[in-house]
Amino acid sequence: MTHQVIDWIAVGCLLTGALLSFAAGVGLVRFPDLLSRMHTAAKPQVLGLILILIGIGLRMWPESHVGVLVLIALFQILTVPVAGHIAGRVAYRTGRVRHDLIAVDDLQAELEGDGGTR
Amino acid sequence: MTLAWIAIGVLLGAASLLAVVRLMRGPTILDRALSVDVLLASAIAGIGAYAAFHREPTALPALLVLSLLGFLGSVSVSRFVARRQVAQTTEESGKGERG
Amino acid sequence: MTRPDVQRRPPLAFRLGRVYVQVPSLIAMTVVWALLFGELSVGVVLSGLLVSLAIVLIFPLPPVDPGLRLRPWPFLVFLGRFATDLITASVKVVGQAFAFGRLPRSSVIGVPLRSRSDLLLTMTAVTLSVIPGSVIVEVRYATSTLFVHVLGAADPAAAEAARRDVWALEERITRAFGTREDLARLEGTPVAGGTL
Repeated sequence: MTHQVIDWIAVGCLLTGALLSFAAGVGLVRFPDLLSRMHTAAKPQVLGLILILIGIGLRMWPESHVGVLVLIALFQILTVPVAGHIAGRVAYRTGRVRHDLIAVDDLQAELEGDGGTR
Repeated sequence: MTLAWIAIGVLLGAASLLAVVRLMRGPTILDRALSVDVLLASAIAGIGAYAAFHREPTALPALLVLSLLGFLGSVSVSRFVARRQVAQTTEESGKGERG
Repeated sequence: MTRPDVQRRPPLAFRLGRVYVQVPSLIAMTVVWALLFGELSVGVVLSGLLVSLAIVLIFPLPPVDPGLRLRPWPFLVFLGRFATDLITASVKVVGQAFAFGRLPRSSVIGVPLRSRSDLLLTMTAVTLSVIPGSVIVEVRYATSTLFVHVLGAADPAAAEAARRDVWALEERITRAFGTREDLARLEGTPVAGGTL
């Protein structure tokens, strides 16, 4: 009985995680510029992955693989910002931004202040 | 229950397909690197779903490696683009990628 | 867990040949090793210590005093807010992805942080990147200013709200990890609108 409840919770977690991945795909195709697309890419990698890991952990309930699952989540949380920051910086500086869709831009003035160099 | 598992598979497959659409449309190499990232995230989710479905712990080390190495692609592509940008001082935004 | 009122201790390190071995990194690597094996036994811990010692000797790093304190209760507050932020922000971004026929407008806001600590700056930036809806575009190290691309901040008021959110996040992180000086700096500069 309890086994079945746990299974359903696990499937719910996995389903939500898959839904987040799908939303990321939709956003990736639909969003207008690279910086906006980067937001959708970060989402399945963090919350979606955590949900899927919880789902795995629940499905393998009696055995514990918690250690490996925690490590996977930790590595992902540590590496996503690295990629995100470098890609975001390069994206802005190489002009891959739709300025007509940006309401407030503090960085443009700042970069013009020092001539747009590094 | 079976229906839920099928839905998980379909959603992940659709996510990968959408990532491939962006991969083909580009327009810049950074967009492609990003879509490879999302493709990889769907792959991780898919392997995870497989592991959960079959209660198969042997797939977990693969997840570990993918989650650790997944960021290398976009980082190296970004560095490549940044360096090329410094090399050619003339801005040519909106032009497609070359590599 | 260090007590908040303990002032700067010497870094936990011993010398082995020409290399300073930092005990915390040894312990951290051994913990990762044990998690990889998924069990805690004498053999795993010993081999983990051996492997991490080899790593430290082959790839030496300069000794670092992190200059951080961990306060348990503010840390829990930070973690809880992080979890809820992660979920609400994800739901918001999913909504924006499925809002067909409408392209999201965004802002790039510059947020001058009040703390001057590298680690607090890094932690704030990392947390912001992990939470969906904000991407770090640029960091001005000299003025500790973060430039954040906020998805869906369509007008100056929303941009201002996002800026206050970043400041509130910085405050939670400083309360959880900062030294007394960091906290004093936080209180010395009033924030428009007030946070928390």
